[in-house]
Amino acid sequence: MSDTVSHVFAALSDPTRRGLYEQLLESPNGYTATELALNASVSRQAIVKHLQVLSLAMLATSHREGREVRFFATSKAAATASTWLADRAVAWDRRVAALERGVRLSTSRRGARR
Amino acid sequence: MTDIIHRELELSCSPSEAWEHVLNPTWLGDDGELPMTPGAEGWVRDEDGVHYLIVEEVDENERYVYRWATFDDAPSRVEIELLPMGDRTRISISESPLDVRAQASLGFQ
Repeated sequence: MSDTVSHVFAALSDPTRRGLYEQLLESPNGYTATELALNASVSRQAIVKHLQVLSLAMLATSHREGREVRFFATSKAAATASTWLADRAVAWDRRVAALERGVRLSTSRRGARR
Repeated sequence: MTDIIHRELELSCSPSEAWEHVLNPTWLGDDGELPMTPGAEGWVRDEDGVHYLIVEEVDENERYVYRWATFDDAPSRVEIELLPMGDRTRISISESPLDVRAQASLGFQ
């Protein structure tokens, strides 16, 4: 669980990789590295490396297709990461409210003393 | 790596007062200990259990940075910054997961 989350965030912290992952998500038929390279600003070789990182983070799977490898987005790892994120977000909302409450209490107490 | 969670708020007190509130662990959880020395270990207990933490940076009235983890959750780094805004203080909080290499060197896992 922990490893999945940190792999996913590390994989998606790179904007090029995030863009490739989004393209994969939108295509039910997946893409080969060559297809992705057609409208990318980086080389096919760079794209292959990015796809490997996405695969390691379990954000993509691949199937061999003749001489090419076709990549598909998987959503399970991303879903795990977004649950992690949602849990943390709720915890921080609670903490921020507690901090504000603490300051409000001590300033009103001081006001009463004056 | 970019922040994953970011929160900003303004407190109606000076940075030095805000600093005292920030260093009082009861807002982070039910109970805990936030040391003032970089490298020192502390903890915060909340409904998720005990978060063990290691202080990374202490810049009085300005900045407090630590990394923390529970036994079953990925370690992350929390940065809390205080910025004076007239007679108020802006607090900026960010939490980002540590990458896998950093985890190995932490001794967490």
